[in-house]
Amino acid sequence: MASPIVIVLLVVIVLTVGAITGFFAVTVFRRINARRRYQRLDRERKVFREAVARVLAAPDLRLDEIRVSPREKIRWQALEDVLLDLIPKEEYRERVKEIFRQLGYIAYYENRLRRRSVIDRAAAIDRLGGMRSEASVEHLIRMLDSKNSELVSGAVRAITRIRSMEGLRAILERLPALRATHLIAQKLVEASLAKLGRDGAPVLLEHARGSEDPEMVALVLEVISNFEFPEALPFVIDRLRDGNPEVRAKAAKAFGKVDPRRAGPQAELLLPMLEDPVWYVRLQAAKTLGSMKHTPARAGVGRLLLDDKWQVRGTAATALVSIGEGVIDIFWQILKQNDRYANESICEEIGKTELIRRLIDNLAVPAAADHQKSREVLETMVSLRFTAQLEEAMASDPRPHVRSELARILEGPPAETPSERA
Amino acid sequence: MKAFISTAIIGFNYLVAFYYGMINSVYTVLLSLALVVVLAHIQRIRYSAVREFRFSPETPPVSVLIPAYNESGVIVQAVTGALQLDYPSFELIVINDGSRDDTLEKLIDTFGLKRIDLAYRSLLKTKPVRGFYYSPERPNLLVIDKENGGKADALNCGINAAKSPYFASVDADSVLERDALIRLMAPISQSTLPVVACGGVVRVLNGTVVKDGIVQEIALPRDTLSMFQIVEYLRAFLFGRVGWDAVNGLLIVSGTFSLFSKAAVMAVGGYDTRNVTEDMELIVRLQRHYLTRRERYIIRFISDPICWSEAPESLKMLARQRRRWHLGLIQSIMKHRVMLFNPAFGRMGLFVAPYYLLFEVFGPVIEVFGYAAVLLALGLSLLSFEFFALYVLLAIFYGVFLSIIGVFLEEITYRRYPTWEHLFRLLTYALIENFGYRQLNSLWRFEATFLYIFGRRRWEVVEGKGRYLSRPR
Repeated sequence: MASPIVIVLLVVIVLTVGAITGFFAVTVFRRINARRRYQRLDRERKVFREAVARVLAAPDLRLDEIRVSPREKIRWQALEDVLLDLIPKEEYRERVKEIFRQLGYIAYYENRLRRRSVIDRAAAIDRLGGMRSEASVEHLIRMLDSKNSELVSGAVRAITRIRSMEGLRAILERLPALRATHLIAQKLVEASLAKLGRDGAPVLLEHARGSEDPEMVALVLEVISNFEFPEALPFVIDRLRDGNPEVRAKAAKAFGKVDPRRAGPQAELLLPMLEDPVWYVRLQAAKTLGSMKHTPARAGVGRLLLDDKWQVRGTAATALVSIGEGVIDIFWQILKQNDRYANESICEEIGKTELIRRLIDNLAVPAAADHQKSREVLETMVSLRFTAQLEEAMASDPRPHVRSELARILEGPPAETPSERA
Repeated sequence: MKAFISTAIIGFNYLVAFYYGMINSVYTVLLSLALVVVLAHIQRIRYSAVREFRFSPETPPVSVLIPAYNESGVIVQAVTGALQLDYPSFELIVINDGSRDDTLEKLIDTFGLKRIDLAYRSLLKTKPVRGFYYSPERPNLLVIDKENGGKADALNCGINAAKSPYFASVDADSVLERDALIRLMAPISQSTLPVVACGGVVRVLNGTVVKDGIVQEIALPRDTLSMFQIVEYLRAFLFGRVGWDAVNGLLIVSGTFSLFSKAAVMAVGGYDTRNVTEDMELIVRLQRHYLTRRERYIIRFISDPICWSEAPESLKMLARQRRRWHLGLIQSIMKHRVMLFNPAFGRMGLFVAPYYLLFEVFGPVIEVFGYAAVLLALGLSLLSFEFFALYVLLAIFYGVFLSIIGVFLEEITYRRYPTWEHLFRLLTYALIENFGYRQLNSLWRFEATFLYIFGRRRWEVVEGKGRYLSRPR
């Protein structure tokens, strides 16, 4: 008679061996099964591709050839895949949507929205979105009220893929509640609405005009700054003076994007924003003015080179380089200030752009207007140990005069390593 | 005296049996959790919003940090691959940690870099920086050349230069899949809690074909040691990490490929340069930091962002790597021992940290002494051969079971090894790795314990990597 411990060990061993065999067998059979399934799926897709092409080529929709039941899982999936591949193509979209409806796909997935499993419901939402089922928007809107973030975000994506204005209004109405409870939904709304492009812009603008919610307005401004939308310019201009800094910053961004042709002559509206108490408003204003190459903004943007925030200083330097004209003068003036951090940011930006090349080229022409200022800017750079590019130019520049000028400039304090500088 | 020795040996045998039962129970729980989580995750991926985040202006910028020491053979492929990442806004910072080969020169020549000066601030103290290299044609690539200070020091230097709110650390002998970063960012984009760190899956690069920094063809290597490691990585990542993540109990995310909140890492003082596994120590420190302050946070692991990394191909190098990993584990646990069995740290103090101490730190010691005690008991006829045989069989079969599960999880989820040959080779190695390879691993870890006790806590360099990344195909 074996002892109890031996019996326990034996049982555990048998169970373990059973589990090993089971998993081994499942792994192998699953692969066999998957292989067969995919082979059949490929065959069916091929058959349906040809059949669907015939259906779409015919003047009226005759679906007998491609009629399939959800019980025939592989054929059902194969046909769905073929149709989903066609739906992005504008010329087929409406007919494919009708085929989905007539073959019962829409009803099938709408039914699945009633399932308990979140994964099943989320997958069904995704499919309805993929099928661009306008008839399902009502169901999808109901999903926006779900407590589950996965379902809400899926519904947001599906609605924007369908491009339903009714759905879009429903999203916008629920946005404050979604923001409070579902972070994912908020981020997705931004990404999804941006993908809607101009189609959704009038509804967004209409909603933003009637909204007192600054986050909503900021969201709309962010979305419309992704494309040209001239009708929005008066609204954007209006929001440049908004009480909410997020709105002001987004308005400054949208200002340069929605209608660059008409906004250009009004760019001075952004100048007061360069002195905004909130740093990211200043940053966005400088960025937009830089992208618009608004020369009168040089002095204002130049002042931001001494901003408390390094992000603003960096953006201001980049904006000045974009503006181009007269920028050496601005750098020259600002570098005379005694703010080491700001000066280092300026030197870094000069080094990262083609401006360093211009400064060195200016050394070649002693009579040039910017010669002395370029030289002084370079001297300041050397005093802050930003010497690498000057040393390289001294070694490689073919112009003897420039090399000798550079040699004199580099005769500053002995160089230290970047770490020592820090 | 003889009676005392006999009692001690029998007692130790019981302890080993109990210990073995406990550790396998924990594994079984982790395994069950991982099965549920991975299966759900794989279904969710099909309708995941990850692709949407590629277009979102709200997707945060990321700094990708690649520390490099004597990586001349692989660095160009690694950087070329990283520059092709499918991510809306990222900067790539390569930190040449005083390489003695031509790592820096290769970077300069290949990417047309020029020396530049930056407004660099050494907020985390590091070895001196010698220079910065940049090219306006590739404005998101920056190379920092610094004096040698080790991987942690190089990463700290990269963090100082990083301008994004998040940074990802990636090893130079690794290549990322193009969508790896956006997938790794998903928990940050989706969570309502601050995600301070997030790890992805590391897979063995050996055997694959890499071209222009991208894995072009997945195949299995010919050598046995790499095969063992593939099975081991599948097991560790697909059920170990996933299981711990399910109970929010991660103490390790692989430094080969992980993402961190820069502010969080700065708040805890960056990587610890004295620890030989800086990645684990940082995670433990972050856990301790946030739990002490009772701030809400989360550390995640997700199983679909993939980084392919070269694994050692010789026993000597593998031994070095495993000794280092175990030494780092002991260092990390001992440094933060205040967390052990401490209810103030919640589940981390009561379960996770004690698990690492009892089963990961002590595991190899008990295992090695356990083999000796069982054999001794058998020799002294204190243990019947029948019992001994059953005991050994169970140990081996359970090991096989865990390895098979790793392969099974791979098969039902990502299936990166598509052919029948791949499957059978993986299953075969899952079986045979339990006859020698795992015991060898325990021995190396056992050695590491003694290295720790005797104060020999240095980084053992793994040489000879780069065969798959540098080899022209």
